[in-house]
Amino acid sequence: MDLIQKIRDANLLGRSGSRFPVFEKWVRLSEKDGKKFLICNGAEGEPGVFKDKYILNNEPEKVVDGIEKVIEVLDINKSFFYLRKDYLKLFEKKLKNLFTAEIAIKRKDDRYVAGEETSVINSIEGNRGEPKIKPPYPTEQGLWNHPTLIHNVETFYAISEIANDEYKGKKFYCISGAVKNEDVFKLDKDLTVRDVLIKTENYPKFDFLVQVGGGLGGIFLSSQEIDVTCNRLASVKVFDKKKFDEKEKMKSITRLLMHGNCDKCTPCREGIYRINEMLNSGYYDRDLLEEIILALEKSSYCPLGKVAGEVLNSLMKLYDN
Amino acid sequence: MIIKINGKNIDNVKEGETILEVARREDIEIPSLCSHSDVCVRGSCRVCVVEVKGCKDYLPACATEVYDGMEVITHNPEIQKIRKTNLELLFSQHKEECDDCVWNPGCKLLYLARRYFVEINKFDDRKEEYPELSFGGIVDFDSSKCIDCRNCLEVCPVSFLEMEGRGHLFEVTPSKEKACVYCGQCINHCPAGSFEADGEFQGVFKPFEGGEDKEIVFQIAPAARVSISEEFGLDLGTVSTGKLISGLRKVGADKVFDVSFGADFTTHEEAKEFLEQTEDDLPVMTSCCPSWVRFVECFYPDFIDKITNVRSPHIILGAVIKELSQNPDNVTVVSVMPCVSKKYEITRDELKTRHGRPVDHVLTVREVGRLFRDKNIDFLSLDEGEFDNPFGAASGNSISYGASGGVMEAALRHAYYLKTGNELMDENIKNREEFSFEMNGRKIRTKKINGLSEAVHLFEKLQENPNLYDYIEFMSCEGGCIGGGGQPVPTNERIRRSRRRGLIEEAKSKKVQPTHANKEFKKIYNKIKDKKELFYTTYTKKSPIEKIDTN
Ligand code: SF4
Ligand code: SF4
Ligand code: SF4
Ligand code: SF4
Ligand code: FES
Repeated sequence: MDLIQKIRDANLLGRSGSRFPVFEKWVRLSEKDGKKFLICNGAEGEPGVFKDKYILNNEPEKVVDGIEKVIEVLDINKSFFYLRKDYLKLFEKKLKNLFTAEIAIKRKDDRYVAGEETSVINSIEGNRGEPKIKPPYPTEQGLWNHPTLIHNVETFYAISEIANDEYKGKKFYCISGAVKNEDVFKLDKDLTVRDVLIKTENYPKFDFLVQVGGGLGGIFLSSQEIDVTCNRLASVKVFDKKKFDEKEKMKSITRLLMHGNCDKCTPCREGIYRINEMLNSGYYDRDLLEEIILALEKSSYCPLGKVAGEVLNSLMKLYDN
Repeated sequence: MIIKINGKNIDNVKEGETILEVARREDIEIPSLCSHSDVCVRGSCRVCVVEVKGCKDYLPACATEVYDGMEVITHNPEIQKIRKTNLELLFSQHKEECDDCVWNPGCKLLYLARRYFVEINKFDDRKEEYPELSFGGIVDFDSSKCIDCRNCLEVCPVSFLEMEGRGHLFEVTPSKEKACVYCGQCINHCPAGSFEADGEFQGVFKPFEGGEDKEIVFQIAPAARVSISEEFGLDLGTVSTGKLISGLRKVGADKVFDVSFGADFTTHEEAKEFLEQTEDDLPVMTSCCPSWVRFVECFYPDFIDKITNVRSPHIILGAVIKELSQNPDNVTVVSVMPCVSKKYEITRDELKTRHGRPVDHVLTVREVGRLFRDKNIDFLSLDEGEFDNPFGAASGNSISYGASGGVMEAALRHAYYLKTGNELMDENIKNREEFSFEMNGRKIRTKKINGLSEAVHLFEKLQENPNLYDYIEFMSCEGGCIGGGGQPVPTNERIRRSRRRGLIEEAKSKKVQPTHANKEFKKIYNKIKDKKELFYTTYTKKSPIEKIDTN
């Protein structure tokens, strides 16, 4: 059976958090003639998420195998491996030794938003790493306006597994925070947050809350709300409820976001700044917070601003209770 | 394709159109700030968001293309709320200085503020401490007004404006390694009034401050007589030459002349000069646009020799006015211009004659609008004045200077006549980007450029092969001076088209069309003894780095 069919049967979803069907991207690309590009996104910018690092440390050959299989199947002309600065130091040599196809390694821009896929494209093209308007989607017009396939490190890992008939429907979970076993675990892909904590022997004995989906883009859930699957980034961070201060958290998240966003659109650039300003000066205007969160969630330019809205919303609700 | 907006079917929708474009055409209101026909869609302000059925988030109307069967809702309580929030956030980074702003009156920000019940001062001004800069004393940039749409970066033809990191934020700053060419395009593309020309608007009374016994002489550029109508709410494309003349008389002009009369001099001299050129001198490049001249002097000094040494129309006419006056020292010449760069041009020392500077002040069309308002002139009820003699009877060809292609057309038609004794009958010379014709067995190849980035490409080609064209017209601004940096805001593609239309109408109304048939012009021309001093100038290499001051 050919690889495209296998990917379809496995119903593989992108592992970057977007959960876009891999098969669909491939079909769009396979319909295109002319030059095509591929990017393996190793930007891994979410604080507290280190799955890509774990994979590149332990099984980099599978990632490279995944990339090279795709190059062949989809007739890719040029490929890029996009890595954050510290990963570049750690893995550049090792990866280069594994490549048999021609793959160029590119360094990530420093801003957090530069991990978002259109920002990755801008950055590789030599521009500021900030998002572009979608559509056109990268599969239509990506790098230098050529169709471009972009997956993250873990997705290529899974592609390799599927190609070699080793895939068992597992993915990597990153567990951190107030737990015994802070680590990366390979488990069934559709577990609830509760099951992940139990299976990894990390279920807290104290009153707790979690952040699911990364240190910046992760939603906060109370311990009553954890019977949901990790349908963004598979990362769970546990907090001791007694020691948790929602307002402090909002403050630190908005500070990080302010430094990590691209400053392009009004709600994200000015809105996050104003929330941070409000919290820093010690007052809490819930109406104002809610207004800005609504503008963020529903009118931001790119996923970063939208997710920021959702995250702040989840914190606001926790604080309400 | 058919789409639905607010429940209403709209069926003449074309692929590739945005929701905003369709709504505008259908007179459906969607607020917008950052979108502009001259720049690529950035979708940064987020006040144009609308609901599209089937989408979880609201989408920016300016950046979203329509598809068959699309259903759009432009207003609902949540959208209103979001627009209000985004506007309040925009105002939080925008220091309002309305008195002194090119958008006053007619400011879209203030209109939307009223429309959406915005609390303008909900937040402290984030940019309170941001600097006010002056580029060469000609263009002012108040960075505390900037709302970060980045339009100016794109329209600046020399990439003089850049984004620079400041803490966690990016901000617009002038380059430390380049020069500004004073074209003023940043001014009429900024939605927040961050830029203005020197003198806007404190300087509008300056021309009248010379003392009681001064003779104040105004001259009006071709592209100003149509656009002035926009300052007073008249239909786009309306020709208001007569009202403009009357208005200027009311505010204190002793004489009002036509810059186009000066253009007849330029035409005549350029034609003569062109016919004298040897093959090595070619191509001849026009000189009427001071931004273009500055661009060559700063960035491409190797091409200085190619620019015609003939002066631009208002400079020639200014000098002629003073030369033929009984009391030249007592004359103040003021040019009404669609241009910011003309403010710079009059400061060039190369242009001084024995009577000093040919032109003492330049007012932009915007400034004249302000002057009339400040003096309570009721523009609409002004009568149709006429130009004073003797510098009032310009030829139709010279009116066309105001639109791209016009300068070259006039000069070449005239050259053709001088050489062959016949009129050049081909109309295409006006419209084509590139055009060639025969003149006594010689092939003349022409090219017109508007926009300096196009000029850069052309220079690259000319460096390889200098023998591509005989005559090239250059204008910095899109569409030529009808799109000039001193024109009213907004200026966009549609508005430029209407100004062009009005200008053609005005040119056609002139009694004489070709320069050689203009008897008035010939009379004056023959009176000038020192033609070299009054009609010609020189150019020199200039520093490619701008002088920037903090105000
Ligand atoms: S753009 Fe100009 S007129 Fe409008 S609010 Fe700002 S300062 Fe006032
Ligand atoms: S100065 Fe004006 S045009 Fe430039 S980015 Fe700021 S608001 Fe936009
Ligand atoms: S005046 Fe022209 S060259 Fe100068 S900054 Fe503005 S757009 Fe750029
Ligand atoms: S094209 Fe016209 S308006 Fe623009 S800078 Fe040149 S002379 Fe001025
Ligand atoms: S007008 Fe559409 S985002 Fe600014």
